Amino acid sequence: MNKMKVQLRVSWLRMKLAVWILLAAIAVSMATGIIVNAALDSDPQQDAQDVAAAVGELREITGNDELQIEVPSEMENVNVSSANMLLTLLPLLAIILPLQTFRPMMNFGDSRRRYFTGLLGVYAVSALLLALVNSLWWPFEQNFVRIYSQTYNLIEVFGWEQFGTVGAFIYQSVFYFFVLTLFNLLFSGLKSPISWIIWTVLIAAIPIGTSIASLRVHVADFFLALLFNDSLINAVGINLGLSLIFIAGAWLFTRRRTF
Amino acid sequence: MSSVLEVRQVSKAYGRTDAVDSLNMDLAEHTIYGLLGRNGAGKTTFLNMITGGIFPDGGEIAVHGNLLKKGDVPTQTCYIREKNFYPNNARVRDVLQMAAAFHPDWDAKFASKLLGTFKLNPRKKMRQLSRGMESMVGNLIGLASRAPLTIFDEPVLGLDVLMRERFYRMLIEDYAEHPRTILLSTHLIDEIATVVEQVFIMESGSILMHEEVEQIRDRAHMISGLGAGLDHFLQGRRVIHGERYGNAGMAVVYGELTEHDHREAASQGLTIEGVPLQKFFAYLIEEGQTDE
Repeated sequence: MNKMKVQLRVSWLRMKLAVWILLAAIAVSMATGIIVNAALDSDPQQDAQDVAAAVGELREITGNDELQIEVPSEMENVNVSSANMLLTLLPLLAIILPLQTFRPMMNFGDSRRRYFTGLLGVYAVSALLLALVNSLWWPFEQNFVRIYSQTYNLIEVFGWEQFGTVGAFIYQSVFYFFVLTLFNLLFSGLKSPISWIIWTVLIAAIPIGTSIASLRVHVADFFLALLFNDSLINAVGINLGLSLIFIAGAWLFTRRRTF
Repeated sequence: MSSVLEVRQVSKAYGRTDAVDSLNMDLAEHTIYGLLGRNGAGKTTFLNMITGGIFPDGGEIAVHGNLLKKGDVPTQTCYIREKNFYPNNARVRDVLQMAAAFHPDWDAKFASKLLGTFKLNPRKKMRQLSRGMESMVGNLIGLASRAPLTIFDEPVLGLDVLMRERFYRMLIEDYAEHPRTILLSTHLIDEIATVVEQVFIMESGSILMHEEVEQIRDRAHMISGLGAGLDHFLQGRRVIHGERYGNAGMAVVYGELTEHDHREAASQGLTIEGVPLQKFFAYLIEEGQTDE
């Protein structure tokens, strides 16, 4: 067993419980979705009667006999794609690993530099794996899952399908890596006052950015460039560029992190 | 003998409290050292600094001739902490396999033998072990690592007498076959007196004494007798402890006593005895305090 394998093993031991809980939650969610959809599908006539009665009551209250409500032909609840629910692992990984694996690895005699490089390796592999799972799930979801239930997937929400299968996979990979490195930065130096400042700035940034009109456009532009970018190269550049900044910040915390 | 560890003027403060204060230490190769001190003397802080876990506020640390910079971890060093940080859901055998990856001189056969000697079940998870068994896993790693600098912090914490003796016996036997520098930090002095060659006595973040165990045995004396004769005999000697009972009294002195000194003591009706190390340590810490 080499040092990287040790780190993978320690990471798995620390993540095991969270992974099993998440998988169980996804399984329960899928089962619930199927049951709810089955229940809704079971009596469409009753649904139509209920809607008609509600519209009648509204007409009486408002006195508007022309009031109409558009009701979708199929009343279904819309679920998050199961593969997307797995993405909860992104913040979980980048919170649990820096908090729970630093001490065991140092205790074994690891150096900070090798530990940090290994951690980035774990993040890179995780980002690629999760992107691969979602990319493989996406056609299955379109062609099979959606026959039975309504779902949404990040690939279509952010319009990543425009880049094709490989392009969507690349976009996902870099964005997932961006998320991992961001959380890693936030949880790598919790004892450092600089980390507290970063936390404060991030927490304040979105409400301040969206409440001030002149800033709002920049906040929107930032998220458009990050998530809805029409150029894959630009998207990769922005996501990886920001990731590099976060990695540099996290390394500054880690190289001075005490046991 | 070349130096394995060189510590120069190392200090560490937590707020206004000096945990380690201008400490100097040299460890030579192929020697077993004891680091003795009360709880809170600064032993663990010092050990964490020399193994790169925390950083000194000042001073220099060199391990195997390499200056330890801020953030560096020394190579060829195995540090067994008082509290274990191995994943608690890992099995003992997994922990040993993982530890092996960090120690190039790891002896897997010896590790297997120690599992039997220390009665450790390799299939048990770390969280299922008692405090003593946890200590034994750490001790096993420290021994099987065969690291040129091996440091144990309170290695016998939670161990019963039988297991403590087994650990010390294995340590001495393995050291005889594979000499290396070993630093044992503990406050159970009498137990390690037969194991260590030299001791550092630490108090309030400083080294109070660095001496060979044999030297301490030779130089520490308990002298008792009548007050006037005792006072006369003690003049000009280093008295580290004294007690008076009416006209009689006793004193612990540290220093060489010649044949002439022995004759003088006998002529004054004084008795000279050796001092158990544990008592000597306690008296040394409270040196200068005399119970009248």
